[in-house]
Amino acid sequence: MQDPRLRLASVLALSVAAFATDAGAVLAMIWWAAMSLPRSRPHLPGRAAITVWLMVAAVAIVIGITGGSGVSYLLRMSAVLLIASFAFREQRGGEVLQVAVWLGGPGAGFELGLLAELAIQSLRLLERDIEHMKTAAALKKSRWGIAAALAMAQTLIIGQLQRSDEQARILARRGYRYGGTLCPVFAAEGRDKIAAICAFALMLFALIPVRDVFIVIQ
Amino acid sequence: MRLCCSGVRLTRGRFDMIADGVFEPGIHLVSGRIGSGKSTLAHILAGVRPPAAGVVSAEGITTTGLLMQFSEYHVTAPTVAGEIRSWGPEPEAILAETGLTGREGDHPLRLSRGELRRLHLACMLAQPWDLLILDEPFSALDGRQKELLCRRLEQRPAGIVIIMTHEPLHLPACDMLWEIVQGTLMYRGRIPDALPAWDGAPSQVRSLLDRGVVPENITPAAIREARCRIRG
Repeated sequence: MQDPRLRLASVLALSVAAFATDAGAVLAMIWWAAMSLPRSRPHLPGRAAITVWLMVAAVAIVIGITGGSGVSYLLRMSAVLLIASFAFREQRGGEVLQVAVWLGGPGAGFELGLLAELAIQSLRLLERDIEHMKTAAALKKSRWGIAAALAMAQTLIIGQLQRSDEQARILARRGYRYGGTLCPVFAAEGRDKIAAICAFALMLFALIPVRDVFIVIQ
Repeated sequence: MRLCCSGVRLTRGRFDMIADGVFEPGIHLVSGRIGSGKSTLAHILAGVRPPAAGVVSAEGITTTGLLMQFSEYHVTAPTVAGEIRSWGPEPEAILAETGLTGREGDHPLRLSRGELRRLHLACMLAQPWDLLILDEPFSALDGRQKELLCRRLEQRPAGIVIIMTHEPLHLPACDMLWEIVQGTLMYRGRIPDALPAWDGAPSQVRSLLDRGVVPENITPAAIREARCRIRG
């Protein structure tokens, strides 16, 4: 999807639909498949998403054992994760800031957008840092264990703090205080609009008890 | 001992590059503009990243070292001493060599970029790699440290050393010259015969070539000597 406004709105609608009901979750997965799989290089969930999914699966097992509906929880959370992974892979630098300024203006909108951009950038850099650390560990033939994982986590945290400090200094040096000027430009294709309409229809289908509507009509 | 690339193809987003050739023992310089794919090629040659197509075969190579472009990428231990041990050597000698004695308990990311680069280079050069790939080894080093690194590289025992860099001034005496031009890794030949064909030659080498003088090598000393030939 080219237009980040439509993508964000679709992702919100689908997340609500997926979390609300099992049917909504299945429909959200179908929407994801229709948007992701027909590409020459499909947007499949990355390792981080799979790791989170494994944690969700563990929670679902615990829910199942304790008498809850673990399968339903797993289904709904899997759909939410798929949609989140799709949004993360589709997102391009600067888009969140554009949407935030379009929504909230050059003051609060810019502030929120900048914060979100920095947070997303940190996530992407974290992903890259982990890849480099794994390469370094492979080159050194290091053994993996708790001590190695703790050292890796410590290095990641220090690296992130250093980066945040550098970014803050750069912003301060450039005279940044509050808000900023940005003229957002969006390009929406016809298929983006259709996909967004479908996402909202799925949300309505998931939230409105359709069976009751037919009873009323009868 | 040799490293062969046959039909190797590198892709990174829209970027596409082709590499064919054989790296034999000696010091190879691979030059190319920023973003030409040197780092991706370094990772593929070191075997830490598979090529999109083609084969990299290492014949008679049992140990491979790769210095990545940014030293931060190498850090895997929470202390300077631990970081040195993670490479293999004992810390005392490396700490003394790099002037970091007393800082063995610091986190490696607390070092300056130059200190961290020196530390990793010292750890790497302390080991007898069959294949040593250095991606921008001169970055974050001052002129004196660059000279020291050049001398150490020249003194290494037989093996394959591949240096990926766009450093223009401080270079070691190299045996073979490669260049990445428009998405293709080109073998220019043995130095000094290869120098006239070097499209991206640093300005001081280019100015000599334009005057019809070919330096014996690309070290600062060889370039000074070639300049003297013009004046003589």
